[in-house]
Amino acid sequence: MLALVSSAFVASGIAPSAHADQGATGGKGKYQLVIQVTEDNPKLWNLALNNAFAFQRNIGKDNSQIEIVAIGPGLDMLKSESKVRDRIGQALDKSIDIVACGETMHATKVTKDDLIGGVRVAPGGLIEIADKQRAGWTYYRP
Amino acid sequence: MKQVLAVMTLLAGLAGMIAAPQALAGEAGKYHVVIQVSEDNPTQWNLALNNAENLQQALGKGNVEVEIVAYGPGLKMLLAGSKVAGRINGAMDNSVDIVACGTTMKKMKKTKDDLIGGSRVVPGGVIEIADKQRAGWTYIRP
Repeated sequence: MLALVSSAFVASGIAPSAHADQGATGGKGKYQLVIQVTEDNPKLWNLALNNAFAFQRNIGKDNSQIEIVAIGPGLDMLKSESKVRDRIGQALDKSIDIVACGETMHATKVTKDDLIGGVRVAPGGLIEIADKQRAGWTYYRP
Repeated sequence: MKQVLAVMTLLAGLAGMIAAPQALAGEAGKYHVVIQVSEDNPTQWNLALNNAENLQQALGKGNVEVEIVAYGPGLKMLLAGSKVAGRINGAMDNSVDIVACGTTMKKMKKTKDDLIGGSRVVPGGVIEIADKQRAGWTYIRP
């Protein structure tokens, strides 16, 4: 009987997924932060990086997951010649996920080779941010 | 066995009810995006409109619901005679919900007649954005 009842939940697909959703948000109290960079402005890039480093330091590396998504004019932040190139390298070393918008790359004829090594490419930056928010991540635009 | 089935049906129904609040956000995988415009800056207005267009293009018009909320200095985007009036009309034609902040309108002594036709007025822009986020919408500030 118990097995049947629990299988009813499993079959409905509701109970387990509800738990999974909460796991992404508050699982073990983990903070998940997605940071948007959409401006061609090194001051703002440094601010985004400062925020990411401070957040990680304050919350603890194991208790937080951070992703920086660069879109539109913000993509310059992730190019090989970027003014914050070294700090991007440091962020990658600290397991901060650095993500480039594939749509912007396509529109501005930029390839993965033009970007700092270790940068991940998502098909679309806005959709990446939407997906993270849907998964319970906190959205932050410096 | 009949009893067991009845219990299973009941549980599946309950699970469905529990899931209902999440259903809005994840309704058949549909995306819901609310875009904030709070600056008196036509470049930002165009960026917001680009974002709305790109989301509809990338996801398919039927798979995404987009709302642009203008408040504070951003309200100027929706005044008749706005530099992006043509694009606002185009967005409305594409079922993008264009929303003006009633509190800002009061402060700036504007009425619905001063706005581009078809703009929707809500009591407060920030509250509108908060309500959308509470209902599971993705929040974007370009």
